[in-house]
Amino acid sequence: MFDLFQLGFEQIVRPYPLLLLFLGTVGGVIVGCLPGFTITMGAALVLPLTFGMSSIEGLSAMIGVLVGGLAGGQITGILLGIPGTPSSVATVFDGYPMACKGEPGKALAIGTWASFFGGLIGAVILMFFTPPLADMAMKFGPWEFFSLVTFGLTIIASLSGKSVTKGVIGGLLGLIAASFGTDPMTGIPRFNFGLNGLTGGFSFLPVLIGLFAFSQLMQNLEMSRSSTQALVSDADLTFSSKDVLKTIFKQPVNLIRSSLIGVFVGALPGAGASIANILAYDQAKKSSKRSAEFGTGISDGIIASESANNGTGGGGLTPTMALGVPGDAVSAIMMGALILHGIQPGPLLIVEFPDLVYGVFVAFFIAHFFMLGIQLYGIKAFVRLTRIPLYLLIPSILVLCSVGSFSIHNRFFDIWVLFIFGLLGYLLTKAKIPLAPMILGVILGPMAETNFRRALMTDSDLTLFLTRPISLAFILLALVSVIYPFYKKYRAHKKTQV
Amino acid sequence: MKQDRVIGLILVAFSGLMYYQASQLPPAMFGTLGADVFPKILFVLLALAGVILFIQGMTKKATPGKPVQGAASDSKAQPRGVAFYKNVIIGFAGFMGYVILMSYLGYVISTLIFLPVLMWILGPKTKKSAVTIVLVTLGLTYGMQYGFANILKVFLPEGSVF
Repeated sequence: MFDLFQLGFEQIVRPYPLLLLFLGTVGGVIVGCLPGFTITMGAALVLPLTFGMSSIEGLSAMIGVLVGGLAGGQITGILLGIPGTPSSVATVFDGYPMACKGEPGKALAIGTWASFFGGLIGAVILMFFTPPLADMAMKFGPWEFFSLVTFGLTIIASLSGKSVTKGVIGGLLGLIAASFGTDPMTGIPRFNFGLNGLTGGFSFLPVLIGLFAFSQLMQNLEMSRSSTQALVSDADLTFSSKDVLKTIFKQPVNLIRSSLIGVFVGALPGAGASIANILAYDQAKKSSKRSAEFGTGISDGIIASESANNGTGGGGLTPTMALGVPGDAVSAIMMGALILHGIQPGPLLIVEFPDLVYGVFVAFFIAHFFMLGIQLYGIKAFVRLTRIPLYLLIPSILVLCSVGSFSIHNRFFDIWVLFIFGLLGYLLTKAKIPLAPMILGVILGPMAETNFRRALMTDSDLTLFLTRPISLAFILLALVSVIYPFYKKYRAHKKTQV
Repeated sequence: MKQDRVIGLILVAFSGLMYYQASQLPPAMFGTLGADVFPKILFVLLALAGVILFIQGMTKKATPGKPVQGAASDSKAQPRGVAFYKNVIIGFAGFMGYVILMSYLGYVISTLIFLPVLMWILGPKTKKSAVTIVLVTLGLTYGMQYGFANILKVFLPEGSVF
């Protein structure tokens, strides 16, 4: 195993990959701290920039965005009271009050260090759980893979919004979008409506940028959004590292529990940082002796939320690298990056490309040190960045979106795909249909279809999905994740009636 | 909610139409599963989900105090007129114009037109912002051209005229 880490180390610890990892982390912190810009959007925008790079270089940049983004959301969350990304919602509960009490520097430092430790715990789990998980998945047949994908899609549908039905609709729309283009098994063109550009189906990248960047930009154009609020930041941004570390190490249970919640939630297909930080905050509050003080600006809340959201990074990458089934939307993009570089993710990845997989582990680990340095010492620059007015930012990023979409195949058709999916993404958000299940559907669609048909071609017996134990377990889990929210609602409804 | 009922109906209609499209695909040459089977399953499921959404929309009432039309979850209750969406419409229309322009004039010229026009429409109309817009436009257009073409080795759109 040590050799493998050395192999990964050699891949990453070279000037160019390290530079890309660093720049990616800076970029991640930037998208993280700008309210209205999500990590998923950052990853989608960085992806086209990685075409000319080797796969490990491209992945380094993307890993940087992930780690930086997970930590960067706290900056505006703490200073403005507006979380930069959904992953830092719970950080605001105590971070903003602490900043208002005149300690914004301390609040940010606590959050940054908590992110750092949470991320490292996630990294350790990623490194040690990926190989055995991949090993187990080697024994999977098409039945197990199809059932696993089904489970992944149902759990994301049930977790990502208020309405399970709408979550399922999002997932189905993604699967359907993926079914356009040439049939993966027989080569028959499907649903191309006579358009040449559709012969290969929708390119993943413009779909992704359209759904997550374009539609988000359009939401930022709605009238009521403005970013001209006064920052608390002109106040004191200084802190004492010794005090901050002492504060964090006084709460080892909180730190480790929250990080593990993050890792676990991250590893569940579909649930990501936006859920983990709130869950961890809630658990910290429930088990704390001073739970009444939560929300008034105490360190406990910041530690819980920030260690949990960075923990999801490692958790989410684990099933992505081991099974080829991403844990959340950002990991889905990471998986898309692999596919764009000609690498098919799945249990064989670690056997075929150990240098790449261990390179990702090492990059993920190092990115946390970069993040720590960038956030502790570059904070003033990021605060200034949040003041760039939207009227300059939005048109500029629109141009970047179109160039990025064009660059994959050098054709205008893809810019139109970007536009269509941007419009679709905007309308779906207005209809409160979540987009995360949709992107998972797009990524997992070919995998679901190929395994489903392969299973039925091997043996036309449909009951095999239910009689093979692992497959049955996934199907049962899928059923539970669909039925449970209804059951919960029913129980709550009954309670209110009594 | 009315919005959910409408979406449910749209989904059912879309599924039906696409199901018909799928049934036009050539049948499988060998084995039992052709190119049409998997999409057909998806369209049936989507239609079902549409029906469920429609039924839920009949039974559920809109949350009081919130307008149903296009109510975003994170916003305060306020009436949403065309004014609310004005910039969104401008954004979509402007981008469409940009792509059409780009197909004739190529990346540089169309970006030099698109950026300042959209920024000016969206931003405050002051002398200071005009100067910023010009500087940002020039820096971004040529900076991206240099970065993409020379550093990242990625092609930029070329127009049919230039």
